[in-house]
Amino acid sequence: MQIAINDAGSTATVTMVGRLDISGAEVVALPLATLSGSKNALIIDMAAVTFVASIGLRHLVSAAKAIGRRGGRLVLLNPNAAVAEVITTAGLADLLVVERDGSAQS
Amino acid sequence: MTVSNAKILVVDDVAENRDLLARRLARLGFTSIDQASNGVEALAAIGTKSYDLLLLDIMMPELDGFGVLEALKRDGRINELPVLVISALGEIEPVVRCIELGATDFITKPFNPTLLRARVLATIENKALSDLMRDELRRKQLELNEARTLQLALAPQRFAGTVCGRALSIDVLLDPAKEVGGDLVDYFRVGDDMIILALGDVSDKGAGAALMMARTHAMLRALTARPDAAALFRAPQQALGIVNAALADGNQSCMFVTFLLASLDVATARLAYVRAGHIPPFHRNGAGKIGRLSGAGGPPLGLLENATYRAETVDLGPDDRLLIVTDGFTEAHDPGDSLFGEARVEAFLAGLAAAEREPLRRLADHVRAFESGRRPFDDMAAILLSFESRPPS
Repeated sequence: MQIAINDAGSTATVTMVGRLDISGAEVVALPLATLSGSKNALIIDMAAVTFVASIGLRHLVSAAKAIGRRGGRLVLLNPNAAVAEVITTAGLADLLVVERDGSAQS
Repeated sequence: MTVSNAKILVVDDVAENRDLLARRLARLGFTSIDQASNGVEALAAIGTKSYDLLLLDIMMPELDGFGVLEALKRDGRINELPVLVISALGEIEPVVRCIELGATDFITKPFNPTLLRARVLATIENKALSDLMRDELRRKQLELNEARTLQLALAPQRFAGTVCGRALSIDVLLDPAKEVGGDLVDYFRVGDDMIILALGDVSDKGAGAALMMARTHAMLRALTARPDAAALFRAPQQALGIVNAALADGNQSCMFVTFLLASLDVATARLAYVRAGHIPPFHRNGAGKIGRLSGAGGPPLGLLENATYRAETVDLGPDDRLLIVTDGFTEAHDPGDSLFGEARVEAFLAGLAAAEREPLRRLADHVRAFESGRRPFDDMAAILLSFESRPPS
């Protein structure tokens, strides 16, 4: 898992590349916790995430709830079909908002 | 172990050398110093006493220093007993060979007191540190093994028999990826005619997940003691709602549990189920057709205190099979990162013979073989309910 962060201004964008499994979750845990505690909006570009395990979902949910408590919003941008299905199957579609900007194939 | 109680064995065939070394060591504060005059005596002494340091001459009658090192290497004791080789000045090749055989370091004759002191004290200090680490690791491993035994004991035994005149069997499997894991599997009776099936998966692995798993399991089982237990489980969304509210209360870590709770009315063969973020169970009907119970979805347990769940029902027929698994099966990876996938689980269910005793163990072995030597990816838990058209033998 590799991540790139653009945190200029009140909205931060986190671009994730790779597998959000147990080792991927370790990479994203701290940046997500920090950004969800300080930004008004968090966009996570998921287009290049190939796999999400439940521990990865846990960190996304944790960030979504933290930013939500402060009145902010977390958006998962362009997850691929398999990742989107994992989110739906896990019953997390209400907590993890998925958006598509049309620039990525799903 | 300290300088004062460290046990040292000096091995040299020349008595003057042994005495000189023993005196120098005594001056450094060592009080437990034994002597041996050749390799055979040395190995005999090592066999009866646990030494902290061996000072070993190379050229000796009976058995030389190489022979002692080879013997220590063979039985693995070289990993726990540091050896300082005593060599004549300028002997490079024999020293290199000794170090290749596992010796820690060397000292040269005639002995330089300052160098001897530095090497012996450093070696003893390293030995004390590695003893401490080994003991700590051993203690942790014992604790984990005990936790594993306790966790595995939470999974019930396989059942085969007749309930309310219906022949059925329930096979269960719990296989944590590490010593302990976050998967949960259980079944139990409520009243005379209801069987509850429960399968859960904590969104993490290891000790933290195991605690969450045990907590969830205890809450579920505690519900069976309530006077309204039959009503709660007949509408399993109610039982699950209570467990969810308790788990979600103050759950800052957002660790969650996907859960499948089903109650089977054995008399009518009607199954009510709730799926809290869990992957849909696999259902094979008497004709061999495989379907999924993909209704009754809701969020995983532990995230939303006010979550409401709803149940769906399915009527099971003679010879039906119901297979509930955690994603440790479907999301297992081979070395090329291909998924084990749902199709392989379906193929397993389709090919299931009625007579097989422990089919879930076979499926789990298949998954671990698929991972082909990689560290197990995830915990696995599963439950398989089989209606038998004939009573099991």
